[in-house]
Amino acid sequence: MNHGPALLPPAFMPSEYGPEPRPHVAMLPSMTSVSVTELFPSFDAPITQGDAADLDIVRATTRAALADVDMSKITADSSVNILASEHGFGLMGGLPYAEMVKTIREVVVERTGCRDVRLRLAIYRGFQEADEVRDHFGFDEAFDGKVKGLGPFDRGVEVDTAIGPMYLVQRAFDADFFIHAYYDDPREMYFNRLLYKSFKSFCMSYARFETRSVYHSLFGNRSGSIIPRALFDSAYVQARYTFSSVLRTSPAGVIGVDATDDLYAIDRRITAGHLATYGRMQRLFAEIGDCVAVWDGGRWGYYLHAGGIIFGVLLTNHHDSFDLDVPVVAGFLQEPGNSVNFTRNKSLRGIVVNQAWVGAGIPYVTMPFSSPMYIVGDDQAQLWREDPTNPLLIDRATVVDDVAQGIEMACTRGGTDRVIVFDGSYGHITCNESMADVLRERAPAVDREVEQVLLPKWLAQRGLA
Amino acid sequence: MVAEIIAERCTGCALCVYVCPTVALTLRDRRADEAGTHRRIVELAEPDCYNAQNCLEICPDEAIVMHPLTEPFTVGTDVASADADEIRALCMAAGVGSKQLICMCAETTGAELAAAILNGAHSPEALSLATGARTGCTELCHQPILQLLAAAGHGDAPRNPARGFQWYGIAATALGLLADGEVADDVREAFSHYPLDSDLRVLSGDFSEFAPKGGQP
Repeated sequence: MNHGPALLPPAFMPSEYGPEPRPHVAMLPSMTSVSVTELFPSFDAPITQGDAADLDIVRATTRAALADVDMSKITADSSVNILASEHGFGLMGGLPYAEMVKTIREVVVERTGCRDVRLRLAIYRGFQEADEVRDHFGFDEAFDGKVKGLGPFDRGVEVDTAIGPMYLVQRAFDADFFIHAYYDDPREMYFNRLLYKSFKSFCMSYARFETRSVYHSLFGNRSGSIIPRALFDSAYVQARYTFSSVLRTSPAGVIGVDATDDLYAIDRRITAGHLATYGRMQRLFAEIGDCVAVWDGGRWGYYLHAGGIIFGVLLTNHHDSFDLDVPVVAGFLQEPGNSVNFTRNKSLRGIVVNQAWVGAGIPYVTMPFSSPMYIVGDDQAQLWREDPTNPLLIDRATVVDDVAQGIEMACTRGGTDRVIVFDGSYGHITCNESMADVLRERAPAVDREVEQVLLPKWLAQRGLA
Repeated sequence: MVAEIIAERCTGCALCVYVCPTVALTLRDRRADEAGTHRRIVELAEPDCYNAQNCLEICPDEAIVMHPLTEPFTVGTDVASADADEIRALCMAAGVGSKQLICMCAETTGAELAAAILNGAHSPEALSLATGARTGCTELCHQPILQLLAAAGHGDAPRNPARGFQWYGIAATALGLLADGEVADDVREAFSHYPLDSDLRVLSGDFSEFAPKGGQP
């Protein structure tokens, strides 16, 4: 098989949570790209893979999706919060999601005459991260300065739900109404199991620590989405909810925008589409076997994409995440005396960190025990040393001078020659030739199994057959 | 790392005081010899700063910076310092695993948290100071800590400071969906398509259906 040079990933937002941007791994001569539509020809062509030149298409697509949305609740005198969640800004560099958010505001102002439309950026680490997003994507200009961040430790409000009390972040709901501006990245599919994923923000973006902690630690991962659904359906939220606008993706890139006041309908459409597309990728990743992963992007390493699939999936995909007959795929499931801690893919023989955010809220501190970590550069190592979320990680990792050295060390120690790069790419996977051969060899059988066996089962389990 | 307050930038808004998991920050009157114009200023109790950085993140005025500690220190509670049976009983009552990492950042187990409670740490901030838990991401362990404190009879610990929001109350959990050991009918009806019975069996300790299917255990 002839292998061409690798394609470059989308540009990303520089951040104080990661090192200064450095050359991408895709520029190494040993790297190549495998197209996801070559692997799975049934994937539709995207409208963009994050290129700034495509933003007019995103804008037009958003306007078309909003054309029939009922905005009658909003009047000229209303105040409205558009709630955006941080991981949308990690999708293909974030420009498509930011464009959808800006377009929502424009259309709401045009249709309703409302001038008090604010942006609330639901961010994990707080105001500093929100400020970076605001500045990088030009939100101050787009929203006349009405932009604020909100984090899980902000002032809360107790909300009665069908399953008991939950705690939301007050600032998310400090307007007459809100708009749920979301994206459909399935991300931690081993956690959300693609059950009502479209609701997840209500628990993990707009909610406080107490509620998020329950989702992670005190629910099974098949039933965890009961929490965001209970919050969404609560009287408190419904009194303020207007409509949802969701950026639609597949592993090939952005495929459209879905908007309506019926979030359940959006979720059914997303789930059916994702099972067919991300489901294929998820099962293909399970076929990879021994390999080394490289983090090479501008967000948390855990959430960097390769062909639309986050690193966390490779870390945990030794079971079928979408099969609801499997009670535990990964998680912090607790029960007295017989705990099931976060289980990891033992085939992942090493992780090379070329560039990524430090933990900054994501604990990896025990990960080097199962997959040795190689951190490139003393400057990046210093950031990890100062990271409050992973106080001992740097003592368990190896600091290397450059990424090529790190990859060589990881492959030698791990006894593998397969390398996959999580660099934010959609539409293709950056990898070395050995990995490319494996992906191409295994994809046809995965394609058949998903189409003929798994997809019907997954759909039936969710009442979508 | 340890926090430092930049006096001339601090406006005394107290947001950092409200979110510090170890309550290392307090508000006081600004002295005449201190830079800055606002009447109030935040003061740091350095030994109680565990590098959570919530203060740094929430400060709207960039009035907090972090510095490397001159002498790093280790925090923790020896599990052997409390009675093993009492530790197990407390973990059982709270519904958490004694061997499980409750705080994934500080690598604090349920048993260590229980030992600290039995040794006199009766509030979330006291537990954080005794174990280091809830000073990393400050999220994942949040609810199990509140559950452990409640199970030990300290669920009514007053918020510190009173207007702070480092923690609120106990939120609903999966086991709360049970009525007389079974999934309540209204819950089952409201949340169809969920394998609730199976998940709650697993959460209750019955892993009999958890058999690896060709993958790794």
